[in-house]
Amino acid sequence: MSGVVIDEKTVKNVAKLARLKLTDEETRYYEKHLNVVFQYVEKIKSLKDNLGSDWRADLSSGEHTPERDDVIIASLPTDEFLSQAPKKIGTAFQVPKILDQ
Amino acid sequence: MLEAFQSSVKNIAKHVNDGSQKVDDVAEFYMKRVQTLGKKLNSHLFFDEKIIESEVERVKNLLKTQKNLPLAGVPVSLKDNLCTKGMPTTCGSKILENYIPPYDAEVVRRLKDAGALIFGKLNMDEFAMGSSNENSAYGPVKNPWDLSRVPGGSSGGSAAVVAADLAPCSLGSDTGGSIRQPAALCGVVGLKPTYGRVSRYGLVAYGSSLDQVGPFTRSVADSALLLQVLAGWDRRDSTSRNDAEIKSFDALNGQRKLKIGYVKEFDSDQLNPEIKAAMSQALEVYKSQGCEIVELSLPNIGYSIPTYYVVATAEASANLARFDGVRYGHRSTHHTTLNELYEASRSEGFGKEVKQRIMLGTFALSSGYYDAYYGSALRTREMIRQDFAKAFAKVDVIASPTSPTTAFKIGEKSNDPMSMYLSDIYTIATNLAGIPGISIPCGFDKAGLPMGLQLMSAAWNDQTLLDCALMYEEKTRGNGGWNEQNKPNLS
Repeated sequence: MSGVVIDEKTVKNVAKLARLKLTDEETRYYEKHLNVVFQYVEKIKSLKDNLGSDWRADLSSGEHTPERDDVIIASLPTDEFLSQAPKKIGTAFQVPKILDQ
Repeated sequence: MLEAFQSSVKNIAKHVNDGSQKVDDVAEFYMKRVQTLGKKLNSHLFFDEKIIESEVERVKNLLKTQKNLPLAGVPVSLKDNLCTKGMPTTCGSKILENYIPPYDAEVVRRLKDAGALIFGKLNMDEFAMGSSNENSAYGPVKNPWDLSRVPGGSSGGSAAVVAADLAPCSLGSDTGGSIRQPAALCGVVGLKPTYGRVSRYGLVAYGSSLDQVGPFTRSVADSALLLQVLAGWDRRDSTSRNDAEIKSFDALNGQRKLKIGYVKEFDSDQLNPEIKAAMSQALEVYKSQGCEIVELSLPNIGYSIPTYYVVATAEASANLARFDGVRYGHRSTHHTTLNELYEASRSEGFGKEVKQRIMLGTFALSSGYYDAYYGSALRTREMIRQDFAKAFAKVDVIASPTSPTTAFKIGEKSNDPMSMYLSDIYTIATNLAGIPGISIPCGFDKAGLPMGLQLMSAAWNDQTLLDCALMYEEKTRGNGGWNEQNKPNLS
């Protein structure tokens, strides 16, 4: 099996999707490592399963997520939650302006 | 009096409950061990004597009104991916370097209610991604049996502190072997309960369909005791089951004549011959106790590792999207726009392996590749789950090595991703199948390094697993057996 080849362009695109900024050196490093791992992962394509084409992971398990009563419970007080915010204004998280972009 | 390597969780709780042991003395004893040996092992990311003192006061107050607390005065150290109110929780990452959670994880609440002392936070592979602890942003934990070797991972600190007796027990998390593999490499008992048995509320998520919290202890009985405290339904973890409570300690029985399966596919060239021999000896022990040994096959088990590295990384790429520099954690100053804030904060905060796994997962989920990788991995996972279901129709327990090797040298595998990923070859399938697994010590290799025996059972049969582990422990412990003779020499 030849398998997928992950080139520099793909690494850069994946990094962009993952909101990561890579240096040139990092791009080369991950190009090499992602290829090594995905060469190995290719193996799963060779498995012949007997699950049927309409098989769905979310419906296959006999165990269902237990339901719970819809009860209102208190959430964390705003000031406690905001205590970990690196930047805040009043009772809100602060982010850079997005409307002028 | 407490003595190093002699005290069990069970006995500490018993003596604190009956008043013959003071909580202050227990805390003092283990505090001294941490002060003397913690730096040498690089095991702790947070240990504050003032907080320990307040923990002692809290437990003393609890004891005034409550009798027979299951973990009365028992120090429990926590892997640093479990949220602790008022104590840092870094996850071994720079991105959470200054994070102090405003709430306790559900397991922490349960420990506190049971009378335990929350006893510091432990080093780990960043975001639980690793098998050697070398991926911690705060340096690797050292193996107490040989300081030039890794303790395993990702819960390396949790395994090392119990092995070196800096705490009588600890908690870790297991996504692909992160409790069992370090337990094996450090010579302690590590339990990954059935998926859904223990709430993950307050556990920093890695691969949510795989993650499970569990205990490290020096004995099977202590493991059962911890599970009894930790297990149970929690409305805040929708995967925790409403029938998850278990009286694992009260019901513990090491005399059951169980049917034990041995998987022929597990016999590979990569398995260290000494571990293979120890495995055979362990099966002989079971045979001598009247257990039946059955050879069986898990035909798709060879797909476990590639399946895991798609499922786990896909889930990680989604879970770790929450680290954006806005609500908590590291926020870069190098940005103008919102996108630059995300990119700069994440790139500065995440380490090498975490970035790698985020990108592996992002790629596996990306347009054009989703069906080929993620879709195939889900189907493969189902085939593996069915293999186990068929096997457990024939046997009560499956035995295997925990790890193909004993502890390796720090740096030995760090440049070879596949060789590191293969460290989990025996443990990963249980996470994919959602079943419980335990690693118990089963001897030492010629170099004096511990080896681990893994036992697995059908989902929700955690009791059978513990009973089976207890039988082996009872037959091999004491009477000058290896379990009593060997302690890591750390003085």
